[in-house]
Amino acid sequence: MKSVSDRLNGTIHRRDFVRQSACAALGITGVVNTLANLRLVTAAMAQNTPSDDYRALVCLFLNGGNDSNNLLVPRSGDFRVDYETGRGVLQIPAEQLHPINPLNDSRDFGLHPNASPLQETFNSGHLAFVCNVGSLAYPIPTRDDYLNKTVPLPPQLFSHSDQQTQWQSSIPDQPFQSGWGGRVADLLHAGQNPDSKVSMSISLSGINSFQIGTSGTVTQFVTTPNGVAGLAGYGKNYQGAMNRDGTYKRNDQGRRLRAFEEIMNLTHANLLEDNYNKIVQRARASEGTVGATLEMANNSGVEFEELFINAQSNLGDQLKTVAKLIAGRSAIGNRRQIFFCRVGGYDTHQSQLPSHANLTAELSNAMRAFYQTTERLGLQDQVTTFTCSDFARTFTPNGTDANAGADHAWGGHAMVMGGAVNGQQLYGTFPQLILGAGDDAGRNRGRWIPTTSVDQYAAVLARWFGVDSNSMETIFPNLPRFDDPLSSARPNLNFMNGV
Amino acid sequence: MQTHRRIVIATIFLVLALGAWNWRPFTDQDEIAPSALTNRLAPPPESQAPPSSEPPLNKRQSDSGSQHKITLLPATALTSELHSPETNGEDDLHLLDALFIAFRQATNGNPSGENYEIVAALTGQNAKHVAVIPPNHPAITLDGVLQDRWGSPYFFHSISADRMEIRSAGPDKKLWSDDDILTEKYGPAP
Repeated sequence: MKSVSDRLNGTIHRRDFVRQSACAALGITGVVNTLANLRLVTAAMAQNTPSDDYRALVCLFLNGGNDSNNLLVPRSGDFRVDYETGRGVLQIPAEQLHPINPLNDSRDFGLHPNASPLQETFNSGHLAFVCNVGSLAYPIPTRDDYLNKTVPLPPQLFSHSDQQTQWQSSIPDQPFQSGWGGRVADLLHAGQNPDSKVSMSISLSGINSFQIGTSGTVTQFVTTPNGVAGLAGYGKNYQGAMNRDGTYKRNDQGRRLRAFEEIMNLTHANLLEDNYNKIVQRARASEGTVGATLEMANNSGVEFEELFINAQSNLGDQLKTVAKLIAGRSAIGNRRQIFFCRVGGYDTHQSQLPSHANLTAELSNAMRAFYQTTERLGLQDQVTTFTCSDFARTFTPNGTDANAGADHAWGGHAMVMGGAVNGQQLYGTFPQLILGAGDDAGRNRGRWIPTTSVDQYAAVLARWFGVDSNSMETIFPNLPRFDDPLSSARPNLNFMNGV
Repeated sequence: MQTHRRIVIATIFLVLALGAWNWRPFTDQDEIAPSALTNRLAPPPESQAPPSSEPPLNKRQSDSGSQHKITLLPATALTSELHSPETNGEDDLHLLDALFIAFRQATNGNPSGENYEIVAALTGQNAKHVAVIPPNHPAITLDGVLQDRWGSPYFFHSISADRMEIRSAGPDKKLWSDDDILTEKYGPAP
């Protein structure tokens, strides 16, 4: 086969010409942009696709280390005393907390003053907390086991980047190779998504470790809260380069885009070059479908803007986009979909009270709006949202004045939300809030040793999503370490209905 | 010419001997006299660390009779400059940064945790039993906390296995104030 440079130098044979013409024609008729895909997507969305078999997992990653000690808070009783003793200037007055009524715990808990939307969701049975979750290589039965290093620990505890990766891989004691979301997608994609037009793994916040698979069959598709990130220089949705009927405009932008797509549609003898073109083609195809799906969702009659009126934030915008993609799921063609959202700012070493209050307001409002939107779509039982974070923060503050913050800790409380969640309950084990004893790793900062591993937490979600029991060890190779009743307490993790 | 050869050979011998001295094994029983490190050390800062009922991990492990020989890495020579009156707080951080680099090269990653845990690792309580700071360095308090030249504990911000942000509270001894001194800015906080 001749190289592309040979062909561009003018030595084109008739057969080459025919093949290139065909490719170029594909480049025009199959050009995958939002406008050209609108008709296709409209038709797909118009079909009454049964939604019964649709399931979506939505990962909310709170970057920096969420201070969940001030999200789920004791209101009265002995553990309130421990809370006030340990938290110092970071404590939240009991009367400011929103009381919750856990069905399985009689203690008096409340949620952060800015978490009233979560209080509603919890008390209505659609939200649960999984307490003291963190990355573990093996169960750590006692504090002495940690201090005496009798149990192997995940490497680089308390380090942002490593703990983020370990949460997302769920294999903390091995060098990173893949995320558990990616492995789940690898396992389920072919069987569950035969009509897939877009990746099963969609990220609203850039490339992430969570959705990296092992086989390369499912690659992340990254979009933005403001819509698809297309090629620069052609205007929004390529309106500078394309007409509404999908043909190229007769201007510089149109000619440039046409030339680019024709080049990308050439075949190459060199496998690397050829694969590069395929990746670009696939990205452009996904871009077109996703862009058109979002456009159609905007015109679907669902009041997304109204539903998210109290969630006008970075996370709110991400979840609104996820909601639109779920609404347009028939055009995307996947019955199983994994979304990744991420919001930063949780590394509150200073001025934690005001910073965390803002972050909690953003999180609570966005989660509530998202749940209500899934209800509006009639899909609340098929969409499960869960939170993750690098780690929690030290129970003790790092100062004594109002500007104090908290430092890197370990186990924290995660949230799971959706109609399929056995909500209004606290799962796992709420830590003893005692410094220098009980669950505290270290001297006296209140870094709780996790009593539930990321593997255990994630495995329940994966099981609900469709991973069968025989495949659990493929996805979570360390899980058997935590299933041994002789080495770990009863996990109390029945937080998903039907799992 | 013969004399010149002798000088070259003598110099090589001297370098090798110095290298061997630097790499000699160091045990918990060994004492390193501060004067052997430097005669320019600042006076040891007064301990500001909160009292603790528990001994520091590095101290505790020493007391428990650890049989591991700790090897002082050549980088420990740098610590003679730490808190030197001829340098400043910024120099101290650059020096600590260099010590972390040496530690990473030897152990494949940063130490992590609270100040005393990081110091324990830097002074030899790690899987490779190598130290980049002598355990009895005057900047380390009895509680095993590494302090800056003004007597405040350094704040170690673990970013990743190969990135550690180090913060000194500066002359006002208050962290997160305007006079804080930081190592290289690594970009926005995660």
